[in-house]
Amino acid sequence: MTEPIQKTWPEIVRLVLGRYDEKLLREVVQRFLRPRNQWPVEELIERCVEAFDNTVLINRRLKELDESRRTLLAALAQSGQYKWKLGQLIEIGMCMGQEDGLSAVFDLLNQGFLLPDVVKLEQKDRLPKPCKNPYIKSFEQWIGFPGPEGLAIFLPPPISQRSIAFSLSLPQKYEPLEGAEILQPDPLAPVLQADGMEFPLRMSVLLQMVHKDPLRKNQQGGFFKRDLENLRANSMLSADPSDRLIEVPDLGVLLTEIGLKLGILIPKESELHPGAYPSSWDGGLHAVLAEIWAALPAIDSWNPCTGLNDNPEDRSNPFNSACLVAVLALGNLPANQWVDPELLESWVIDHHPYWKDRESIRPSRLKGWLVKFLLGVAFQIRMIQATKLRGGKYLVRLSPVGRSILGLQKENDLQDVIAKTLLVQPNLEVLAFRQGLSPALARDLTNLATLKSIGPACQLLLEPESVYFALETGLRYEDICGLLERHGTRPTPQAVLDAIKTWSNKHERITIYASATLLEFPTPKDLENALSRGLPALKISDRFAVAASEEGIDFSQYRLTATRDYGLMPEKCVQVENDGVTLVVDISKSDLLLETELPRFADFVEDASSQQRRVYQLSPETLKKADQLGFTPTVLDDWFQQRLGHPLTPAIQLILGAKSDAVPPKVENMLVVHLENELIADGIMQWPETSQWIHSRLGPCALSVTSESLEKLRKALAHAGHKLVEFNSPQS
Amino acid sequence: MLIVSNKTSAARIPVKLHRRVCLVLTEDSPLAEEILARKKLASDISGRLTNEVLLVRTGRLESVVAELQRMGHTPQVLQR
Repeated sequence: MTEPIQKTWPEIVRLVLGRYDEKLLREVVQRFLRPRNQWPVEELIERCVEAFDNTVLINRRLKELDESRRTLLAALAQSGQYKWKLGQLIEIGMCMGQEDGLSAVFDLLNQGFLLPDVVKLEQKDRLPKPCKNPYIKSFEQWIGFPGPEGLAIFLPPPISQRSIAFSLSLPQKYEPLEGAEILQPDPLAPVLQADGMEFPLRMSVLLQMVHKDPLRKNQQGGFFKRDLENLRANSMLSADPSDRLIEVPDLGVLLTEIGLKLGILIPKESELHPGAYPSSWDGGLHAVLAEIWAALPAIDSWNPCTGLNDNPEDRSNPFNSACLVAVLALGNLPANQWVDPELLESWVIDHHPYWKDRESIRPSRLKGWLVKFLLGVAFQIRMIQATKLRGGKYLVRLSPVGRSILGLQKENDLQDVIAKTLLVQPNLEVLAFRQGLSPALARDLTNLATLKSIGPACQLLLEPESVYFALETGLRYEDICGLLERHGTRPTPQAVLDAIKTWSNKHERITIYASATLLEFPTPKDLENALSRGLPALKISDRFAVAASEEGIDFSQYRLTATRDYGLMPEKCVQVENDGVTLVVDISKSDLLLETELPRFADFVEDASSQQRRVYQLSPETLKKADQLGFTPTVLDDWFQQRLGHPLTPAIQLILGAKSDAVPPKVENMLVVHLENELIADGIMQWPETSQWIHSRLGPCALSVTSESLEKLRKALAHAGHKLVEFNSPQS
Repeated sequence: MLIVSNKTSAARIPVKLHRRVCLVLTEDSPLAEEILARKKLASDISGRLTNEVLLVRTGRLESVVAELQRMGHTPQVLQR
């Protein structure tokens, strides 16, 4: 999450400033940039974006700010979070001693240090287009229309980086009430500190769980009851860590929310699907912990007091800002000073606006929440160190990692992990010793093997499905073996290598393209030509190549003759020529199914085909072959109706009718009587004296008669006054 | 100096695109036959493009994958 923002912030700033009305933009830029010339709006925005990278200018402007404003910026910077709800900023500001938190936010907005998040930072992968009609005329107007999602503020990363070192107006000491005992740490008690791997490992559990069954959400945004039960019942996800100091309510829900913020889970419609590990997983444990810390203030549906907050009518979460202020307060103390978390909680409650009217707040929300957050969450992400007192109570202080994440010091006590930490056993079990695990190794291992237990030694199991999953992420057999060898304390057993090899080979036998692009070339030569020019596709026949995606295809090299969506219904795209057996396919309308069907009952005629039309011809041989393949006359007739819009042609019916059981055509000698007009022919056919000698009517003016009946017909016609003239054609 | 232009190699190659195609690519022809012989799968296959390539009916991807897995295969599914 952090890294993309570091890359995309200039575009976000550009888009936000582009939504400012010109008057407002000039006012803000005047305070921030102080330009000497009157620049056009577009140039003003560009200069403003560039100015955020100007360290000298930013430092100068920050110096000019009121101390209370600088304090607020420093608090936001130490949180690592770039997007804030307006309410949270006000709460943090008031905790820092400001009477009215809103005026500080207004000031910072007007001076360009904060920006309204009008482009939705969560959707930074698909940022909106520049705005043609700027609609933010003033920040007062913007605040007046919060919309269903509420108002959010964006802190540009350069401002955050320059503000992190400012001191916070927080106490240097937390005194108990008069008469109460001052708790002192036991010098002999050990300093307790988690290794920080618990949350990254549980993220892997969550991902494996969601891979099997996506988590479903209801219309109110809460979890389905069954999924919530699964989250709570999952022994690896929600159970207490082995080094737990206190129980954390709904730990599984908290991890799900963190996973969502980090992009490890992706919401799709009303389900949560597996996403990808953020790039920080390759950056070491410190980067991962910093990212988890930065995600915490953005979590709405979990709090340390009640766990899951599934009340759709109460989405307010004052605990986010309260917990943040508490950790910042710890950072404001000397490095080795222990604090009673209950004293710290009392101080936050005294200063946070949510607890101002204590009588209206449920007693359960008044006490104990900070202890759960500090000892349950902050401790597990290594922000906090703890020491136990004799009575069972704990004192806390910020750890070196915590101080480093807050930007209070550069060095931390994270050490390089031991690379050789795996024990691969012949029964396909893998033991991963915790002290050697890094987030990247945990990610790679859980991509390859199913996590069975989390503890000082994590137990994983290599299974066909888990290995297939690893192969699908792009790993090859060699990569898997390399990973096990590189981190294994002993050579990988041969039985394990053989099993992985078998699964890998099996996996490569069938490839399914879920939504591929198929490139159809008119001739095999064209396909060869395209491949020689570097077409990133796999040749699957002499004219077809398949590509999993169109990315990387240089379309400037190709002339698209047609584009066809596979999901569309088949169209009428074939015409028959006058001979009744030649079919011409219109390439611009034809689909792939046609390509699979036509060769089954017709031969391709290459000479008559071109780029725009493909010609096929039916023959008795092709139709006989089609019949054997299941293309019966009825099926063929249906195909003609669908593809040509009419039934089989007489020529094809003639060929199909020539079967052994069909009545054979007869040949017989016949005489033809040609008549002057149709009326005479009709008369001959109607009058019984003549009609009895007629064999058949050949046409409007032609009748056939057998040689035996000719004389009888002649007499009957003579009886009616007509004379039959005999015409002998010359013999050839 | 005589300049001979090679128009053939520089010309754009005509091609027809079929988008959003769902297909199964098998290692060999007998494997494709085996798939086609399976009743449940045959109804989800709309055509055989080549000896090794089978076209899957739109929207039937998941049932094809599930049936192949039931047959003991482990297909690799390439998403876009």
